[in-house]
Amino acid sequence: MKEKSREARNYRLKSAFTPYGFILPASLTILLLVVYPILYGVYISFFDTNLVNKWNFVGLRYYLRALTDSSFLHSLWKTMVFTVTVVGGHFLFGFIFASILNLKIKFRTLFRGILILPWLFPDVVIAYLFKWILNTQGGIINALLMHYHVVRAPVGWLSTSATALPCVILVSIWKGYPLVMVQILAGIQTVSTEMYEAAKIDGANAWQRFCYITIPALKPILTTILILDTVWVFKQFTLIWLMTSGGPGSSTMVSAIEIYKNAFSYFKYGLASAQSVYVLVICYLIGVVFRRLLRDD
Amino acid sequence: MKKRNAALAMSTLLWAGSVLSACGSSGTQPTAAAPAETMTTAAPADSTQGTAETADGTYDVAGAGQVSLDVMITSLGDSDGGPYLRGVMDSYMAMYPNVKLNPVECSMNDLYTTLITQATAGTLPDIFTMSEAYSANCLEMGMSTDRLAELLGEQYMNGIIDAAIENATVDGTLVYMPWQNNTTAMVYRKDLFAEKGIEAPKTWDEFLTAAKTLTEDTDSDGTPDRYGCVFAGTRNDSAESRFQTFALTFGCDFVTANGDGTYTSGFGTEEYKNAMTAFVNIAANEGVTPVGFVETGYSEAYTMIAADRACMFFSASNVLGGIYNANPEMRGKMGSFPMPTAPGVAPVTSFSSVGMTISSTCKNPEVAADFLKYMTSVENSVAWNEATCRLPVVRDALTAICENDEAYAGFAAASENAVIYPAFAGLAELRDISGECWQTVVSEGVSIEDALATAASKAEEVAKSHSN
Repeated sequence: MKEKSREARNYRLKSAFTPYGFILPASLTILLLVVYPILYGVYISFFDTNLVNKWNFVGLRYYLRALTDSSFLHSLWKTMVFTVTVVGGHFLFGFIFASILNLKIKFRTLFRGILILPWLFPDVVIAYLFKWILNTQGGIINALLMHYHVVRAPVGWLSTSATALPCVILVSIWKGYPLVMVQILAGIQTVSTEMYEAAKIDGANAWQRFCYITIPALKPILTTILILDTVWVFKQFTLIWLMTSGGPGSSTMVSAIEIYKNAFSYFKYGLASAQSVYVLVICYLIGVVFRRLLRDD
Repeated sequence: MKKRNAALAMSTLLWAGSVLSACGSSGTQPTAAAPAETMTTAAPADSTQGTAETADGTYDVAGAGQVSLDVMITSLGDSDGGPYLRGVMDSYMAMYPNVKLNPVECSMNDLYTTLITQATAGTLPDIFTMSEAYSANCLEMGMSTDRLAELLGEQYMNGIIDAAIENATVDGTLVYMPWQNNTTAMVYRKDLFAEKGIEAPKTWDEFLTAAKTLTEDTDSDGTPDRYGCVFAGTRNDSAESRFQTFALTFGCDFVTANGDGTYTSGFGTEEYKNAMTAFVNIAANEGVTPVGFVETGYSEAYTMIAADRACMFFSASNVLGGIYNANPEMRGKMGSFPMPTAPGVAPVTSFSSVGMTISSTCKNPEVAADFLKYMTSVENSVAWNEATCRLPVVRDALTAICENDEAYAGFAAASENAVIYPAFAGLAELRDISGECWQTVVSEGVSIEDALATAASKAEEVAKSHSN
């Protein structure tokens, strides 16, 4: 009898701890690679430090400075503009191409392959590719425009304030729309065709079917992609850094570049960390707001 | 700013060169031999010299047991001496089979980021690249050994030009062993100057006149295809530090140490205004530079010279290596002259250096020092110059190179009036403010007065934030 109860207790204990054993590797990985760096970043933000042997506690000084730093506030504004337009572009082109690819057209598989290509290229390749395409000296865009007498002199696409940000935005849209397209396409294909047929019988036109069937059916997917895409674009660094380095002037100076320069050009690690914490909070808030706005009631 | 009259250095150079020639050292004479050949022949001579001169003169590298040293290589490209440096390491290892040198590659652009990461992780290479821009931080962080001067030895230190030693010294400590002599001068198309009868300009007005003369529509299609000069206008340290030299030629110091731990920015001065105005005019408004000034970086600039699309560019001597590498036909066509100046400003240019230092965690600093001395021996410095067109800071090597190749004459003359920037931790920020200033004027159409006012205000803040 006692033997049986001991066995039962052991079994209960084993059952209670086994799940923790399964989640332990993932939890440790997250702790080491996500939680620790974030906490360390927050810790650094309270110090005037060189990260090696100088650690002067400054409290909230860098948080207050960041709030009054016109360059940082300007970079946040640029980041907002960049994020809204790029994410908007991703969804617009993602929807259009996903809808086209959902139709029964010839060479659909080929088009799917072609349309996914921009996502497959590394950011570095795309940045340099477009830098040369848009280059003032011998770039193909300028060569074509001059060949067809559209312009008389080469246009400084990336060296003129009015055109640099739009160019970077267009390239970012081109690079990022395939992910949204694939997700939406996968979502569309899960929507039952009977629902569309029933709506058709009830007299719904294409736009109504899109608004009242497709969008609600895709809402969970759209929410996820919107949050992920917004946060990814908000943190965009590589493409902009390689194409314009934040210039000309500060016309493409997004917060990621501003923070990078403070940390690794000016060695102001404390200030850069404080600014990074602000960006972290903003990204978190974006997630919260989107989830609330788009929650499925 | 402390002015360094490198005339002293150059005269000493020439004197040292004469002595060396008198001694009949073949190693001081640059030859047309390939770097590898030069190294092979140089190795035995240096093996004795290097070992004997290390530290107290008695250190025996061959008897040091098995030694392994990680050596950072920031010269990655062919024209920047990457293969050459690897060759030097190989020849040193052949000389001392008990020493293993492991190359650790790092792009110069990522140097400081990499060093910070390595320092915090405790994985600094035994020998790593350092420059005056980061030497104060390097010392503060305790990255490098504090007895470098002692390790290199007095005799070796006496062979390096004074400006370089001073440039690499912070608070009385030699932070790194200077290696590359980055005196700034103007490189130009000597053949085109001769063809058009142009004299080397001494003022910026003369420079502009020369640039206008050289700007040509060679294929008669209605637009110029060869420009008088090219200026770097990208927003990075390469272009921005060039502007600092340009400002110097207008009598403007970016920052002045007040002697009481405080600094004053020079951005609000008339000299800075004149410099920025002239820079923008020449680079973007006078039609003497290729279009796209703001997109033109160092590599684009020398590529344009190599491609016969521009005639003048101010830089350190390594630009010649870039030009020759891109277009070997330019050898013999290039020359150099000291930086022009504004009216009333005496000839002046900037001196800076890049070098190597030994990590404070290095277990065999004596061997590391011996390798550094071998790497910068006269023979190896001359061969290195042949591979990269970089000028060394070792007197005898510098003399030999300048005497042998006319293309470096301008650099030698410029070094007579070279100055060293003060060790100011906010220099990168000040330079960046200048970059932002000219970019907003050229690409955003902001008036130069407004851009200057913004720059002056930001620079004052930087000076204040770095004052005690």
